[in-house]
Amino acid sequence: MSTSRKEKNEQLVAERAERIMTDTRFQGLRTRPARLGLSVAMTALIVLIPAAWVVLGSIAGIVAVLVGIVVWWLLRMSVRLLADLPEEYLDERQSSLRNRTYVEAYRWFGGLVILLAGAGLLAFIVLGEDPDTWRVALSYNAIMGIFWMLEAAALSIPSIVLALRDRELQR
Amino acid sequence: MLLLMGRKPKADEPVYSRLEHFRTEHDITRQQLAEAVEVHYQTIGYLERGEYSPSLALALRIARELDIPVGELFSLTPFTEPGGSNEHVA
Repeated sequence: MSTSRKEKNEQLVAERAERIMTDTRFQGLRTRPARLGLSVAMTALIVLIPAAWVVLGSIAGIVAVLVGIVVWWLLRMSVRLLADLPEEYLDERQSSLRNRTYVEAYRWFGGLVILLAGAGLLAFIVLGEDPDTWRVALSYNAIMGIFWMLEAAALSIPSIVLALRDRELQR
Repeated sequence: MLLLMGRKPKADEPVYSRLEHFRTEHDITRQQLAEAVEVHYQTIGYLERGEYSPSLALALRIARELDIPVGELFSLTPFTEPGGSNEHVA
């Protein structure tokens, strides 16, 4: 990236950070009940997105992903992008809160991946009549479901943890 | 050495604050103080409620801004004078 382009990008991030940190339009999203509701909705979508792909088909899957994007955006607004902004735009309390949040988010995401891998391994052992020759056949929709579930979890878990953790973001 | 260090306590040592008392005495808003010491205005609220323990650098910056010795603003023991927050640090 050329210097001028890099500077322009940094300026855009700085302006966005300033706007989000002083924003008062979305105060309704920053109340405790609203953040709790958004966290529950996003957690439900992490499960519902792959279910929609596998059970209901591609159209329902795409609709579920679009709903997920909207809820994810609202969730990020509710925590003022604290999980995503560069370090230099956060003060020491926000920075320390984010550090603790990412430790917890990593544990949650790690737990989810271990759970999925464990379930896959178990299914392979239990369902495969001959594990040496058994092949896993995944449909296009199943692959899309797994992809979007992991994507949704990886992107939203830090903001979910932050929304549940920071008790008084709206004050 | 590890035995001497012991396990770190879960909760930080409480820090008591009289920030709100001195800020209102100086007739400045949270926003103004936040801008002066380069933190988010919510962080001033957290400090005033005793829900966040500031770094030494931040405590000194606030003390300099309000022209008060840092020990008058924050303490490890509850303040007996008016304006003390007896809140526990998060």
